[in-house]
Order: sequence, then structure tokens, then C-alpha cells
Amino acid sequence: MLSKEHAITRLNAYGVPFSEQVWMSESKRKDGEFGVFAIIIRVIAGLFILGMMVVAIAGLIALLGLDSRWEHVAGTIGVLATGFAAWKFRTSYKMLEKQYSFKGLMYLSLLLVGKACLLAALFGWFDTGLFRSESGWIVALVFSLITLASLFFYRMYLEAFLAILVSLFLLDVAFGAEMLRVLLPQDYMRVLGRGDEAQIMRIRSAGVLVSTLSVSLLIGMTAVLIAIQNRRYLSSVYFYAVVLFLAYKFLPLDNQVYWSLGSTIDVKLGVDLGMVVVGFCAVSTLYAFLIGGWQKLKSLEHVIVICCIIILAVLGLYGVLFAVALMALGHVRHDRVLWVIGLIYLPIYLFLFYYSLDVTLLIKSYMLLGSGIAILAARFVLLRFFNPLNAEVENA
Amino acid sequence: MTKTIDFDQPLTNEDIEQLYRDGKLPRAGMQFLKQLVQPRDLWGQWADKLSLAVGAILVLAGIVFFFAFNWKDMPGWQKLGLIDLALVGCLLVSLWRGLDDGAGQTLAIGASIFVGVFMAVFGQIYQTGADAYQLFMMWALLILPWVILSKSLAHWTLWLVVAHTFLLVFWVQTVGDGIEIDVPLALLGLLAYGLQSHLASKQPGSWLDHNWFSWIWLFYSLTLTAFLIGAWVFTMRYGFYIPSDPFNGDLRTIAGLIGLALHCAGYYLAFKRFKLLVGAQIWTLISSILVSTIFLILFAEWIFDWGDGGLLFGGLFMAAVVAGIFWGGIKFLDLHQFAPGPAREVSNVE
Repeated sequence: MLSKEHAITRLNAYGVPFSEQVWMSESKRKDGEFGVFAIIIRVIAGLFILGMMVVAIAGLIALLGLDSRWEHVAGTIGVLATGFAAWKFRTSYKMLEKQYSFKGLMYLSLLLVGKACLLAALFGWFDTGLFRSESGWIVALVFSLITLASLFFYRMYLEAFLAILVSLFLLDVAFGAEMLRVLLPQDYMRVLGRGDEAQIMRIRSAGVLVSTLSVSLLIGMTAVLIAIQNRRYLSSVYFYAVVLFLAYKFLPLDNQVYWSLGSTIDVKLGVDLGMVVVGFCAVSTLYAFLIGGWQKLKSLEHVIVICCIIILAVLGLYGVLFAVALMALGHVRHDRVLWVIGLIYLPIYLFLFYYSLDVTLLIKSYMLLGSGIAILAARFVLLRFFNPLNAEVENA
Repeated sequence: MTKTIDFDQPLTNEDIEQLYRDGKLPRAGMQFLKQLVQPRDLWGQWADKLSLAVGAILVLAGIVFFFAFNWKDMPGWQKLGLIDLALVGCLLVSLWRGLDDGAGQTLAIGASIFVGVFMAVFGQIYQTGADAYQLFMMWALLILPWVILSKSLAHWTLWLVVAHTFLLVFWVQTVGDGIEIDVPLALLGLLAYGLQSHLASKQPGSWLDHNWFSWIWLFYSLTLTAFLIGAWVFTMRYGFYIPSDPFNGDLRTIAGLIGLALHCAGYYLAFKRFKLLVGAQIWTLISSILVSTIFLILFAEWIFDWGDGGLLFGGLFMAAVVAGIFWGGIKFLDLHQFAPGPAREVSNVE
């Protein structure tokens, strides 16, 4: 049994400042004041304001007659607005109550406008787009570095969540396109969307490799965040942003954004060994973490679970593995958000899986039937021969 | 004013959730404490249910995919036979498990869905020439007895969706492409919200007492009323021509006024009659978006017609107005008192 006093000590050691006085103080909050509604209405208001400010800035640029140097105006506004808002959030707007005030909403809007202007200015300064250009990766890198610096400089979790998602997207697309260019220099620009099946096949195979690498990096990032959160307080917002982006990456291949670069003809890619290995390693590691260590994997019932993971990975149902992993992690960590993401993700993945063109419907049906039967068979074996339910006292 | 607490007493889940609701503990801190108080390292029962659900979903999805692949090559009797088999199977298992059981309820809803699928496939195979609205009408009528018996809000949601679809398709096929149909749709949605909330307040803890139902139908109704009001304002300002509108826009003002009345009725129900926070939040959010949109509709062209200067000052002015509108909405919400909601509805941003 953990006493309240001991809990306070553990919280402080974890990195959450807390004391008996804070516990006993009267709550000034009304129910729902900082709830989901508060987030939604502020995001919508912020986006409305962002739209109006973009119009205003366009008008300013036209008034100054700087149409051909719009990026300098946008960049200046971006730097000033971001800098000012960041300074405010670092100094006088640290607390949630102040961030959710009217001025807090204004500074949030200022931050969104500033970052949007900075991003647009970066594209203008480097004279590049994100797709089909050689310098898109510079913009992605610079914006991501700005995001990273912001995370250390101030705490505004709503904006941080959006900024991390945008940064991950930019990095993924830009480096994905760059890697494709490195892997396929002769084929790439010439045959994009117009090549024969062999050339398209090479491009898509290279794309699969790139996708595997980026997924591996994201999984590594997720693992680091989990490890840090285990030992020390870290806001869950960063973790949720990475998880959501990873969810997007696990969608069937032809739903990835950078496939807009090439044709989506039906080509058979076969088993992606890289993703099989990555998927298996990631989920097995998570499973070992959840059950309390690698040494516990030696027992037969855990071997049966690992076999199921192997089957799902080999069959290519990474989205299903991901959804189940999220639900398991959410359950163990008492994190309802993760659990809900996993729950919602499973039908979305199956829906998109239906429409993906990589394999025929018949093969997909066999994949699903095989994995479903494997899971049900494993469950039957575990209940029949190991009966884990009687061997434990359920805590949850 | 502070209260005294005995800190030697064990920490409970209720303590943790109260601290979180009061904003004294961030989300990650709440999770950290819960893992200490209630470690979920023995989770066999939960894993058992999850593996059953996921395995069953994958097998069912595989079956659906298999039939989708073979569908066009299957003869008509096979298609209808399979659907019949699924329908009867769902019903039988539902009766065997009982409607008090979650699986039984789910299968009863599945049976209702298969009724509609059967009728659609029947019409497709035999080219009966029936109108689409007749399909939805018969579907709604046929499943109504089960819906009443099932005592499930999820089942009622399905029925209401079918009924609303019938109304919409009936209007489009027999009357035309006006927006006036949104009036009865919004009215029905508000009725569903009001009736369920009223009955839930009389029978707390019963099958009627689930907030998600009221949130969905309130959100749906207020979206329609907001659209009606917005379309009316847009028509007044710019004109709004719909090619196959049978009334040539003549009834749009009446529809807009009724929409406004229904929107006000939504306010009364959410803020005064039932006083539930989430309903009021939905009303406030939609109204804030509506007022901002109306402002844009009425003044955008006038402001932005001033050329580049208009873009600059108009953009700044509109940004300020929109900020004020949304802020006003938040403050308007703060002026009201609401019944305390359950802990699960409240969360921090981090």
C-alpha cells in the first residue's frame, strides 16, 4: 500500500513538483475548464485567426510592393511573432490557467501565425517545394530544429503537438524523396509516373526500403520516449504526436503521401523482410517490457505469444500489430488516450487495407483469416494448457 | 480554504483522479501514480478478452474480404442465401446469449444491418425498380420491433440513421434539391436528444443513461440548424441558387427562421432544461463557428474590396473579431452552472 505522503515523495522524485499544501489547496478550476472542449475551441479559434492573419500578411506584402520578396516579409513577421510569443510562454504564461486565458489564446494564435510564416519563408528562401525538389530536406531540417529548440525553451503543449506532427511529416516526405533519389538516380526523375512495370517496381521497392527505415527511426523515438517517461516526468503530448504519426506510417503503403510521386499500378512486392524484422523486434521488445523483462520470455506461454507476433509480422499486418500494441501499452500504463487510439486505428487500418492495391482481395482474405485463426488458436492453447486466469489475481 | 487530509492513509485511485480533475496533477503524473497503486502486470483476463475480440474481428474481416473477392461471380441465390444465413445466425446467437449480454446486443444490431443489406442486394439482383427511399423506409419499419425490444441506444442510433436517410432520400427523389429538408431532420435530431436526456434523467443508471447518444444527436441537429441559418444569411447577402431547388429559394427564409428557432431550442435544452456541460459546450462551439461565419459572410466582401489595404486591415480586423467571438463563447459558457459530470469527461491538455 502506498501512503499519500510516500506518493508525494515519489512524485517529486519523478519530476512532478507536488506537496501537501498543493494537495490540500482548494481547486480553482471548474469542471471542463481545461478539458477536451477547451482544446477544440482554442484550436478552431487559432486556425480561424491564422487564416485571417495570412490574408492580412498578404495584404501587407502587396501594400509594401514586396511581392517578389514576400519571403523576407513573411520571415521577419515569423521570427518576431514566434520570438515574442515564445518569450511570453517561457516567462509569464507558464501555468495552464494563464495559457487558457484570453491573452493566452492570443499568444497561441501569434505562435501559430509565426511558425506558419517561418515555414513559408523557409520555402521561399531556399526556393524549393517539398516534393520533386532537391532542397526540400533543408527546409524540413531547419523547421524541425526550430521545433526542437522550442520544446526546450517554452511549454505550450497544444502548439508543441501540432509542431511535432508538422515536423515529422516534413522530415518524412523530404528525406523519403531524397533517399529515393539516392537509391534510384537514373530512374527517378525520368520515369516518375510514366515508366514501365520493371522501373515502377524498382521505385516502389526502394520506397518500401525508405518506409522501413523511417518506421524504424520512429519506433526508436517512441521507445526512447517510453523509457524516459518511465524514469522521469515528460509530457504525454510528445509521445502522442509521435504515435499518431507512426499510425499514419503503418497505413497500407499506397496511402503514404510520397506515393503521389509515382504511379500506383498494382505491382506485387512480395514479403518486405525489413518491415517483418522491424515489426517483430519492436512488438517483442514491447511485450517483454510489459511482462517485466526478457527473462520471462523463456516460458512456453510467452513463446506462444511471440509465435503469434511472428505470424502477424510475416503476414504483413503491421497495422493490426500496432493497434494491439497500443491497446496493451495503454492498458498497462493506465493511458486511456493510447487505448482509444489503438481501438479506433484497427477498423481504420482494416478499411484502408481493403482498398490498398498491393495484393488482391483473395490474398488479403487469407492473410486476415490466417492471423485471426492464429490468435484464436493461441488463446485456446493458453487457456487450455496454461490457464493463466486462475494463476493470477486480477488487479485491473 | 484548505481541508485536512491524513497523509498516512493509503493512496487510492479516487484520490488520484480527483487530483487530476482539480488540475493539481498532470496526465503523466496521474499515470505514474496509478501504475504504483494499481500495477497492471497481471493482465490475463484483459488479454483474454482482447485476443478474443481481435481474433474474431480478423476472422470476420477475412470472411468479408473473401466474399468481396468472389461477389460478382456468385449466383443470386448464393448471395441472398449467405446474407440470410448471417441474419438468422446473428439472431439465434443473440437470443441464446440474451440481450443483457454485450455480444448478444452486438449481434442483434448486426442482424438489423443484414436486413438492410438483404433488401439492397435483392433490389440489385432482381432490378425491382423500387425507389431508394422505399428501401430505407421498409428497413426502418422492419427492424423497429427489434429495436424497441433490444433496449439499446446503439440500436436506436442505427434506426435513427436509417430513418433520417429515408427522409432525406424521399425528399431528394420526390421534391428536389432544396436545403429545406434540413428542418425536419434537425427537428427529429433534437427530439431524439431531448427525449433520451429526459428519460435518462428519470431513470439514471438504466440503458437510456449514456451521454454519447445525446452528444451525437445534439451535434448533428445543431450542425443542421447552423447550416440553415448560414445558408439563409448567405442568400440574403449574395443570393444562393440551387439548380434543382423546387421552390427557387422562396422558402429559404422560412427555413432559416425555423433553423434559428430550433437553434434557440437547442440552447434551452442544453443550458436550462438538462444543464449538462458537454451539451452546452457543443452548442457554444457550433454557435461560435456560426457567428464567425455570419460575420465573414456579411462583411468580408465589403472589407476586402478596399484593395491591398483592405486585405491588411480587413484581415487584422476579422482576426480580432473572430478572437472576440470565440472568447465571448467561452465566457458565455462560464456564466452558467451545470450538473457535475462523471470523471471520465474531464481531462487536462497534457
